[in-house]
Amino acid sequence: VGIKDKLRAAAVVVVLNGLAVLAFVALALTSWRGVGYALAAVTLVGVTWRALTSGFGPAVVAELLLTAGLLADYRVDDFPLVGTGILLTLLIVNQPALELVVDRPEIQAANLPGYRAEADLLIPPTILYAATPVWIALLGVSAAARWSAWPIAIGVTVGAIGAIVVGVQALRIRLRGPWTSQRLRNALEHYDPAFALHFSAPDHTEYHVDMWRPYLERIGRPWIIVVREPQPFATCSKAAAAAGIPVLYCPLIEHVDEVVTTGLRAVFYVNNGMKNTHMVRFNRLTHIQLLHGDSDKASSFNPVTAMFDRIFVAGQAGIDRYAANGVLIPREKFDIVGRPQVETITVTHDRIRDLTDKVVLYATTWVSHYDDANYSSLRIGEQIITKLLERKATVILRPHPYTDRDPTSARQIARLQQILADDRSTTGRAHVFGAAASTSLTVFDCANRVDAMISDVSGIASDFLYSGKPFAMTNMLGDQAADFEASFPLARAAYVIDKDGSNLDDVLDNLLTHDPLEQIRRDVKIYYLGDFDEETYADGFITAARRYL
Amino acid sequence: MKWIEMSRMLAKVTSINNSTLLRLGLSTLAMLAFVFTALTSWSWVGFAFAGLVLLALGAWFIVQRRASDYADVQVLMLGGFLVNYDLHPNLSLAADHSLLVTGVIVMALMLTQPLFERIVNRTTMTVANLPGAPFQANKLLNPSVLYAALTVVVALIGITVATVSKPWPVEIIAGVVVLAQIGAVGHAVVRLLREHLAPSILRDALARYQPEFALYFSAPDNTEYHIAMWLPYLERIGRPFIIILREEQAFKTISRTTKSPVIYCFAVPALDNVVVPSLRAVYYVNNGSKNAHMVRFNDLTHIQLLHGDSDKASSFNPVTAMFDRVYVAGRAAIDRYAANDVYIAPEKFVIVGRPQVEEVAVVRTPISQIGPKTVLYATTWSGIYSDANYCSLANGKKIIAALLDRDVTVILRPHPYTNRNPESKTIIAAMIQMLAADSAKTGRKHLYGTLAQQEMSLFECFNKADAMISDVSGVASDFLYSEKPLALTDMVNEGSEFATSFPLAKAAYVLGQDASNLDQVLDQLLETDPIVATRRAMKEYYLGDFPPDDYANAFVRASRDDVLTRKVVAVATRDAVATVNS
Repeated sequence: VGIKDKLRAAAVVVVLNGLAVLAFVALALTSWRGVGYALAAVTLVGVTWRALTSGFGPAVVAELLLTAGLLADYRVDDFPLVGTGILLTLLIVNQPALELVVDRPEIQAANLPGYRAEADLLIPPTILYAATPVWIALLGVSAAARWSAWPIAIGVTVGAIGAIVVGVQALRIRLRGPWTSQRLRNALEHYDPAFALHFSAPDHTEYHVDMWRPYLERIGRPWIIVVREPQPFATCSKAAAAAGIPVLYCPLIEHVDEVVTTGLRAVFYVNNGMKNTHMVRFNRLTHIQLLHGDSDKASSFNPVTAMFDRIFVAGQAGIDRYAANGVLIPREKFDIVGRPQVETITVTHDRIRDLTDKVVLYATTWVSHYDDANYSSLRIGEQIITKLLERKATVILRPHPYTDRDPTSARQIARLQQILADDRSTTGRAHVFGAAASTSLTVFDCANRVDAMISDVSGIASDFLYSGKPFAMTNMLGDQAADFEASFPLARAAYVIDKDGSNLDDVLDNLLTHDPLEQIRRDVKIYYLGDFDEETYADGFITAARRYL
Repeated sequence: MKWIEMSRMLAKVTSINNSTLLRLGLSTLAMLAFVFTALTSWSWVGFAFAGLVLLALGAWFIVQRRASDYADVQVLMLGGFLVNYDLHPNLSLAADHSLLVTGVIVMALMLTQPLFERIVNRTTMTVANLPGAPFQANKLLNPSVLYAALTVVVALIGITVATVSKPWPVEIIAGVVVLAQIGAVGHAVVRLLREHLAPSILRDALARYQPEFALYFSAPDNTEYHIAMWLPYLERIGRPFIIILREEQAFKTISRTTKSPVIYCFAVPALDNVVVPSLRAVYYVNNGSKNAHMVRFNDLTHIQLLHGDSDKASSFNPVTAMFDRVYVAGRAAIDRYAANDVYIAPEKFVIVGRPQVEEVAVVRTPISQIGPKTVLYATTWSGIYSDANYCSLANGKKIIAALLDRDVTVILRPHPYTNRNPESKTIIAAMIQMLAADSAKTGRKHLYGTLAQQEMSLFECFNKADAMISDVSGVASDFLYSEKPLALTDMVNEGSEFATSFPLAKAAYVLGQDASNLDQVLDQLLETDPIVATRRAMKEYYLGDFPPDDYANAFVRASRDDVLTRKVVAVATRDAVATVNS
């Protein structure tokens, strides 16, 4: 995808440059003035569009050629025209340099008490960038109409002065660097964070921070979030504003030195981002890896994790997974802290056989691109739903958000929704599906509303374990029972539905009535989610974290 | 140190401005050239400006070997030439528009050059020394050369226009350049298509070659010597292996230094094609950030060698914990991690010695029994920071004089960076003067200058010497291997703290900052040598306990164990598919 984007960008540049050459030829070397102006206008629109979408620098050649063509068509052998040409050229060729001066990566801070961001530039640079095509357009109009070159010369002079002012101002701000960072440093030392969260990640994964922020906040000590990429800086500082957590944007490795204050004791990490090593080298601090959710995916046994001083895992399962995958990390580095996020799931103490009017969550995963990893049970979805309705269960249907990407799955879901709607109107049972189940409720809300769950192989199952409620899992690859349990140890705690649904009756009897796995489920819950009191479950994490401050 | 701070600031700013200033200057000149050639009647002024720009571009190309940065400048000048030609009173457009057409083609070619360059320079994978996998980095023509040729064509068009000459010679030259361009791009496209089909070709070739281990290298430019240091010993393992590079820069040098296949993989997915079933272990010589891409193959044994043991931070980097095995020279390296609060599972460490020092001869004859003695004086450089200035040259003349007094032959080997400090340079010159004078007087053959610094290797210097005086530096721990007596200079004046900061000092006679104990130190170094046993223990601590005649085999044996055994895992990541999606 990246390569295609780059090639497309290069192709756009080539097309624009080609148009500019044609415009130049028509304007400067032929007598087809109309054609020349039309081509110039098209090119200019293209350049502007490109500038608006992806910054300015690379359109330099096209803009220069247009300027040259228009000047040649003007052909007034006089001073203001020559001056305009030179000034405009300088404006155009120096755009990349100006951009470099203005946009140099700098440390930034949000929500940091006592620290005010640097004064902004007198003229926003975007206005300067946008001005260049406007000057070229004005030169064009002026040339086409054969006006005097004076007005355009004066206009371009004003533009050039603006560019110089911004450039000089930006340079001065850069040169003031040490002073700025001293102020930042003072504000940080004054705030005196006890710990930090270091976050280096691809865009749109800030939910990993969101997942942990409330619990880090509950530690009850001042702390900061250090982000390494621009996009997460914007979203994280907004999200942390209400709680007043300072967010520091450190684009370069040397910026990290600036935020390691004397009172800092520990640094938390929620992923294995490449730039984590920039922080881990401070060996005075305790580096604690939280990761962002426990699963049997490769990210849960990444050898890189070994570099941290502490690794917080939800339960023993998190530790055993490394060993099982040939990753040797000393046992002493691990702390079992539970998965505080599941505290909002209510733990049931009822036995399912004592309940009437049972509610069942049917949570399906999506059809992946790989046939051998296709865990979606929608193929037997109709059987599952029908059997549940036969047993007078109320159903919450919650497919994975990506399900609609596959047309067949989308049809199957629509069919299931139809069946549920029909049943709702005949029996009056309040089935929940569609947006009501997928967007209005969180997964945890769904878990709290039901008495049992049927799910595919997916991360949902280990969270549901916390509720203590019975659940069934589908074995859509048709693995032998032993293999299935080896690949998904969680299956020990679940009633397993065969891929053709042939054992559905037995499974539903067990799931909704006998529930013989109650005790095993309790053991597996401890194995996956730790052994902590349900009233104070999240304290497992808080207590462990405080130990390192 | 305010001025250092400021000069660093300035350096940062000027790193933007070097090319910016040149661009500013060249484009101003080019615009003047355009304005005067195209818009005024003083076109000779314009041609003069254009000549200046072309000269500057030529100089830039010779210095930088890159020209494509200034397409805009050239296009502007060319535009001026063409308008000038078009308007010329003596030429009629209808009669001779061929030059205009040529000019426009050259202009177009110049502007599409960045895209062509991207195509021609693009390599996702390059392979050397692997039979049956013929993708090579070879380009039919270097795009920079083509670009320079286009610049020449621009200049020739300018000359043709300025002198109103016949246009056909320049047209023929332009035609040749255009054809060359088409050829280069076509060649590149064919190569890219082959690379696109590469996975199967490469996998087949590797399946035949059956590599059992790999050396994986991702590093900043010009650090290939880290590989060179280990290659001979990896070869001694005697099993087929490949070298995987993640940066193209090192490719040429490394594929020349080894007969083993070298594969450059630009992208992460390309690694999947290199990890063939026969592969069992992977070696690393640094902590490059892309190492994580390879370590994820959890059924391979990942072995970190690093590139030299020292008390520097790179020798206790926490990242090292991610490998399955960490090969170290001696116990000292293991303790260093713990001392710096980096906890790595003890099972991961394997003491293998430092095979490179096998070249150093071990001498156990007591120094008092050696006749005319030779002493190596190895100094370090003054460094950038005053708090890390271990250089003993301030005492250098005193040391040399004392050694000459004792009828000792001297080998003087300063650090190659020493001349960066003018003061150090003067002292070295004076010391050489002293040695030369003594040679002339006594006939003793002191070694200094290029002979001792460049023609002889460090280990050759070790082997010629009976004892060494050195500053704090990596040289000292290698010298330990010889078991010969050693003196260390304490130039930061740490006194009793010195042995804490540099445990190696326990095995050396320590020369104080003011050199007041020089006589005493030289007595011990050259006559009494009271700490033979400590030095022997220290050697073992730093370099492992292996017999000299079999020293490098410790590494080879440990390697064979790890290369021949396949690591056992429940589920191999390379076979596992994404299992769970939440």
